[in-house]
Amino acid sequence: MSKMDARVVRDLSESKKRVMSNVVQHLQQRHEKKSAKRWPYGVLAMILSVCIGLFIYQQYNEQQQQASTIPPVLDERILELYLQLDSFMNGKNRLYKASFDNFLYFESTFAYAQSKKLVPTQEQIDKALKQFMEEWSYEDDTRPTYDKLLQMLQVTNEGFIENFGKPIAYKMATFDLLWEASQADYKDVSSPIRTWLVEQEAMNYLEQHYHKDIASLREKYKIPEKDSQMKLIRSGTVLAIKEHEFLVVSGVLASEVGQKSVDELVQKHSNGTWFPLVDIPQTLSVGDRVEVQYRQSIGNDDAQPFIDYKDIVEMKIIKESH
Amino acid sequence: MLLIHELERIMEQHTERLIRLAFYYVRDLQSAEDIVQDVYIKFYDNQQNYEERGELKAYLSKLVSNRSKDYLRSWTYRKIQVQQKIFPQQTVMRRDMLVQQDERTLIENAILALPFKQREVIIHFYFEEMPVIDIAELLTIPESTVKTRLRRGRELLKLQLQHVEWEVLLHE
Repeated sequence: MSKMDARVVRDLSESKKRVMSNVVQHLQQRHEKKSAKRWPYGVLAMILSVCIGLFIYQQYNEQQQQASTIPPVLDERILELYLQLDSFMNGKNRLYKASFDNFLYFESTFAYAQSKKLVPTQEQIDKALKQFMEEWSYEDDTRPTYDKLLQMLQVTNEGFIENFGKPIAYKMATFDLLWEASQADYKDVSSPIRTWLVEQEAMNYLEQHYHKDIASLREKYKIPEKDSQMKLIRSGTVLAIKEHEFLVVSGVLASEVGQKSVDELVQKHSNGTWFPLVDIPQTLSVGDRVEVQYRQSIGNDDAQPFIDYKDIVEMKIIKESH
Repeated sequence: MLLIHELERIMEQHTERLIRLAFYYVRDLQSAEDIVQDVYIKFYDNQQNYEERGELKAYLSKLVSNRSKDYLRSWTYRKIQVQQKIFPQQTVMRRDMLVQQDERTLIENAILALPFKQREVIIHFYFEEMPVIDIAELLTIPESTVKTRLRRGRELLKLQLQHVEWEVLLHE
C-alpha cells in the first residue's frame, strides 16, 4: 500500500493512541528545563570544515571562477516570488511565515556553500536553470501555472529567466555542490538525515553572518520572529543505532526486542522513525525506551510505508534496556 | 481553563476525524498525525481564542486546515516533492497492493488525486458535511467560489470514476 492511499486512514486507532499519548506527555512535561545548548559539535565541525575548505577550494576556485554575476545572499527577488505563490494560496498579499523560513533555508545553503568556496561551472548553472524552468511544466495544484505567475509578477518570459531563473539556478547549482561535498562528511547516512544535518550547519552560518539583514527583512515583510512550530513528541523503543541516526518504534514490548527482527517489529507496530543522532546521551542503547522531541518530518521512504524521518530538538532516555 | 483530562475527552472524540482531515490535505499519515498533535497543543495553549459559543468541531477543523496548508508551504514538503521527482523511489509491490480496490477506496483515492483547491472543498463538503456557507467562512473565500470549486471537483471525479456508482455524482 502506498503512502498516498486512502486505505492507510481506514483504521486510525493506533494513530489516535499515538497522538493522544504524545499530547498528554508533552503537556505534562512542560515544566522540565530545556536542554543544554544544541549543536556544539556541529558548530565545531562546521568551523573545522570551513577552515579546511578555505584552503582546498581557494585554488580550485581560481580555475572555476565564472563570468556570471553572482547573486546576492538574501535576494529579495526570491522573496517576491514566494509572495506571489502565497498570494495564489491565501488570496491576499501576504507572505506566510513558512515561506519566509523556506527562503532562509534556501539562502542559508547558498551562503554556506559560498563560504566553502564552492563555485559552480557555467555548465552546472545552465543545467540547474533548465531544471528550474522545467519545474514549471509539472502540474502542481498548490501554485499558479507559469503563465499566471508571469502575469502576477508582471514580467515577460525573458524577464522571469533573467530576474528569477538565473539567480535561483546559480544558487541551486551551488548547493548541489554542497550536497556532493556533504557525502564525504556524512558517509552511509540516509539522504533525509544527511540533508537535515547540512541544513543545520548552513542555517547556523546564515544566522551568525547575516543576523541584521534577516531582522530587517522580517520587519519589512511583517514576519513574526517567534517560532510558531510546536515541539512534538515521539515515545518508543530504540531498535537501531547508526553513526548519525537512530530508529525509534512506538508500541514495542521489552520482551520483543531481540526476539524479532527490526523489520518485523516495524511491520507489526506499523511505525518507525529515524532521527538524527545529535546531542544524545552517550549511553543510548538498543532497547532503551526514549522520548524524542522534534519539530517536523524531514522525509519518508516510499519503499517502506511505515518508515519516516524526523528532525530532533532533544531526547531523553526514559528507561534503559538493562 | 481546560484541564488535561478534559482535553483527553475532546481528543477521544475528535482525533480520528482530524487525522483523516489532515491526511486528505497532506496525503501522508505521519505528517497528518504531527499536524493533529500540534493543533491540540496549540488549542490547549490558546484556549482564550476559542469562544465557547462556537462549535468546537468547526474550530478544530479550521486549525487543522490552516496547519495543513502551512505544511504544504513548508521547506520540508517542497523538498520531499522535489526529491520524489528527481529520485523516484523503487516501489515495492506488496501483496495488499494486488488486492482489487473496493469502490470506497477508488472514490477516496480519486479525491486524493484532485487538484488542491477542488480537493479541499470536496473534503469539507462531503466528509466533514459542512454547508457551503461554513466552508466559505472557513476558507475565507466567497460562497460562489466554493460552489465553483465543488462543481469543478465533481466534474473531475466523474471523469476518474466513470465505472463507479457514487450517489453524490449520480444526483448532481
